[in-house]
Amino acid sequence: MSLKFGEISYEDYPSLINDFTAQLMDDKIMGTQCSDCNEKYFPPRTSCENFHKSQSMGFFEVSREAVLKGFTIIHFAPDSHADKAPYVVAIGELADGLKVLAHLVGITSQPKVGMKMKLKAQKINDERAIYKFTPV
Amino acid sequence: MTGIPTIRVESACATGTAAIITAYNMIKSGFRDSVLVIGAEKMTAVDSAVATTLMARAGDLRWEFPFGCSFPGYYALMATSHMAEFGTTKEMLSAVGVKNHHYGAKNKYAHLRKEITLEEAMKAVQIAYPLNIYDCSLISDGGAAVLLTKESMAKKYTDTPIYIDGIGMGSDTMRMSDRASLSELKGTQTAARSAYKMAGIEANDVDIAEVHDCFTIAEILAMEDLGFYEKGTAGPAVLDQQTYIGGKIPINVDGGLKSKGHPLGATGISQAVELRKQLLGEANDRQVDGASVGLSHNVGQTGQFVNVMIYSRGN
Ligand SMILES: [Zn+2]
Repeated sequence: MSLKFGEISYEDYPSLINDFTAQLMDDKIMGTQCSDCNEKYFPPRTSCENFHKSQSMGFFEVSREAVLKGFTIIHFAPDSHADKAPYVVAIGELADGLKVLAHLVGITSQPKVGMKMKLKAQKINDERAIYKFTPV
Repeated sequence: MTGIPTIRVESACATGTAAIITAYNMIKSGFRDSVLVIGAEKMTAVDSAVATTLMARAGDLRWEFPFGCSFPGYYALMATSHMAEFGTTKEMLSAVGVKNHHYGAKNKYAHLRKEITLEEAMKAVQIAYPLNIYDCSLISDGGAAVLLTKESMAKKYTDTPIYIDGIGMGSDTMRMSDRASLSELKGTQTAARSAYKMAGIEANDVDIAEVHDCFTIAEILAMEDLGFYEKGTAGPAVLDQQTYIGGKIPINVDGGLKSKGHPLGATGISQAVELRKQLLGEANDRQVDGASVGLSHNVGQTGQFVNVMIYSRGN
């Protein structure tokens, strides 16, 4: 069985996603980094934008500290998420400068751009895992 | 028209201008003398929920779609970012919709010919906060066409041809999270710069603009990224009615995507049709007096495709 990211997917995932999700289930959120130029990538990718060899790309664990850069509260959702609305989709900037789009959960009032958040791993079932933001 | 060679062009919501640019290059290269560019879309064949699901795929499928971010949701992310960075308010967003409905009501080809008040616009049903239904363009059926031909042949078809003076194209990352800023569309800035350069003009030479207001925040971003306003100043300018006829730069005075409608593949061509009318002084009670340079701004997905066209009456 290959592991999948998120609650739904529309494609057969490459092995990178399987490896990423396996670690996500183990509470590790991994990006990839190129050892030739030190460029960091999240979500992880198999090749460096600076045209370095793919053998130079390896996993590293991303920072969990984030700041909210933009958000929306989805009221009218795509079919796949209709029963979950309303929910918050947020873009957070991690302490190492990488940005992540994910749900922001566990909030009691309207989110504020600039608020501090934590990035957390969550296992959905034996096959799937996801990451999400929570307020600090 | 059976037997006439055809080509199909697709660039999401920027398909219309992509088709015009394709035809332009076929003529400029000498491959064809004339090309008829037709855009048509029938979107009401599916209900809004299905359309929402299909359009959500305009985002990054592997890493962002799994979070159920709708197409309005992606623009809503830009809206909250712009609001936090520049103090743009919900009232400013809604004022864009009020203006576009004001002019759409006067346009007999508009899909939703209805004026709305600022109060109605602000209190409407939520789609993706801070965007409500009056911040979102319509799911429309529609079509538009233009005939492109060589300069030397134009007078054979009409005494009043319109010239393509400038074309610019730009793009951006597929993932929203890969963008340095959420408060701008880089592709619009790139496309505008090259279109102005090719036409030999500057932003303040433009007399009338058709911009891609798929959402109200998109019109505010376009006003800034096209160079009509400094970053962060477009919202107050909308409230000040500077984009109405008689203001600094009349924008979407045909109703825009918001009220005229947004049949995806037809939109960029419909902008050309409207600008032709304006440049020839045929827009009746929506006429911008003396308009001689018109700009069309057409965006695909969330800025992955951006085309800017400059049209004029020529010299
Ligand atoms: Zn590298």
